[in-house]
Amino acid sequence: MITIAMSRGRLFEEAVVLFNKADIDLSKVLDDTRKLIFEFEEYQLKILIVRPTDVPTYVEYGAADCGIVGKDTMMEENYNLYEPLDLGIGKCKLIVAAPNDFKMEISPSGTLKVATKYPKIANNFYRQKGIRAEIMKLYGSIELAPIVGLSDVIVDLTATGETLKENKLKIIDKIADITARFIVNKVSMKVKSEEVRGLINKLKKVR
Amino acid sequence: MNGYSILPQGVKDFGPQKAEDLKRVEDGLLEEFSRWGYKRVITPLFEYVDSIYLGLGHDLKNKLMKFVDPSTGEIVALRPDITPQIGRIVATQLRDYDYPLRLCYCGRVVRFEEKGNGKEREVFQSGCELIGLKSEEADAEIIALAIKSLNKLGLKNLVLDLGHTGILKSIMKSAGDLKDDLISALKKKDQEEVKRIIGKSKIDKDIKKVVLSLSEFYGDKSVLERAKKIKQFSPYVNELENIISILEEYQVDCQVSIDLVDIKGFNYYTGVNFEIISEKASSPLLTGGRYDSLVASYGYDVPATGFAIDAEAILAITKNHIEDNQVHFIIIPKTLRYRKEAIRLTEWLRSSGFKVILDLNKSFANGGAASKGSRSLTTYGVIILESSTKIKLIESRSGVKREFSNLEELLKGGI
Repeated sequence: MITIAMSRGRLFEEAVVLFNKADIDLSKVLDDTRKLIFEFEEYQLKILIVRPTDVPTYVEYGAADCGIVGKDTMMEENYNLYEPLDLGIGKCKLIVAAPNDFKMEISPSGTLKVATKYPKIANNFYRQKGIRAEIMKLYGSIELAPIVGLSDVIVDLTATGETLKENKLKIIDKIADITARFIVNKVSMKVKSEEVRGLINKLKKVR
Repeated sequence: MNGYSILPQGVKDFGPQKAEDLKRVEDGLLEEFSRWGYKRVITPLFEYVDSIYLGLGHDLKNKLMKFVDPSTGEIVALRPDITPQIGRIVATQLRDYDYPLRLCYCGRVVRFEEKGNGKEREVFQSGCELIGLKSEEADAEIIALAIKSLNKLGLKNLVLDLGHTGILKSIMKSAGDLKDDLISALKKKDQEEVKRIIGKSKIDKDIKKVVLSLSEFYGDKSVLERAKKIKQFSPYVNELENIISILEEYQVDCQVSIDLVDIKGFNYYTGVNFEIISEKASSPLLTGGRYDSLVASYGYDVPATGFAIDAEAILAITKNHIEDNQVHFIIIPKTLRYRKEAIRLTEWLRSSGFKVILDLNKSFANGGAASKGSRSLTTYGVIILESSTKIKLIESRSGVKREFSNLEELLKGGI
């Protein structure tokens, strides 16, 4: 039995399609939106439903053997994990966006104000560029920050760019292309080697 | 709760039960180490930071707990690892000993961990170092000792994960600027990332092929068969195969897993390296390997191999709590007139190997010494000196009361 940690949302729906191609039917997870643990005796799988940013934590500490998580989460923190497979789902971009009329000038305070859910990524990005940035960690509605003058720019994920457009924001930099990764606990990879690698190979074929 | 009772992140107290359990683990390990002829050394809790860097390289540079020695103004750091300290004493004080040296240690190390990730900063390390031998037999001895000492603590179903730093090192020589990126991708077993890095590079075609195959070189022993086909890997693979066959002669009880890609433990490893893992624990119980240039960095060129066990990780998966943490007897003189007899009896029981509390303040007598409460604190019973001719023994389990007319009678027949 292997345990996989995942989060609900668009990524999960895409994961269900992907697993389906590998003849693993996880669709009953979609029907019951309150349950947090699902057992699939027939595939020897257990699914844990957790928050996206918690997925690597569950896997690192061995509460789950594997996990499915966006590369953005993996970039934000250092985890001691294996990351053997790019699942190719949950495609989006990590970008810098600013109001349509934004011009890159250093503000009177000499720093660029950046609102983001990814303070470490944003900090590294601007450090490499040699720009002094003041990073503000927000937990949601990031697009609002530059509109109300909380920040100059935002660092955020975008899939279609629709939300940005609606809020009169434009992309001014791309930091990385993001897809979902299959991550594995280091001990599980060794002690449940056959099961884990079997699953990796199955997913690799249908991806 | 006031602020003083809160500890800094990553450290904790051990109550009597857990402290006793941990001691049992450490004592068990040290006993097995000494049975193999390993002698204990004790190294200081903190050292000059430069001395630590000498052996560790800059591996743990951002993880050191550093401070200024107020008496000299020098920067010192709490030890993050004991092996470099052993390297230092070997190179400075133990040069003239007969080699090989077999040394072991048991102590705490401190590593700074990023705030909030819940990891311990204080690690209980017990380990062995075999210094002065460069052979497969020496590596096998260290691995066999590592596994057998875990077995002694009742740990079964262990997995030995074996690797060899020579393989990655031989490849990285030709990787040039890509080295860091490649190592980080290989560390994550991210084959596609490896492919991407290699793809755009100008590395020689044959080496590209080897690097690509490298990321698949983990799994059961069949990995060695595949790896042997690559000429530049074959000496390392042979070494691993020989070690595995020596381990079979030791009849070690564990499953062997091979990982030629992983970078285990510290940068100072130069040859065979290994981890011992258990399904029950989410991180390795033990890390070890050959480190032939560590001692040389302290000025004495001698090969070495060793391992370090995380005693707390073992504690977490051995659930057999020890019942005899309990005291055996509580001795209570009814009045202080019988203090002398009470002390005599207590000392006699202690010298016979029992754990005894002498209760001169009658703390246990409140509510009646015979009460279930105080009885349940002892394994055997409560002894009350009621008068010079009346000594009462209340047995813990049954609650049966027995009377004796003097100490001699009690010592002879009662216990």
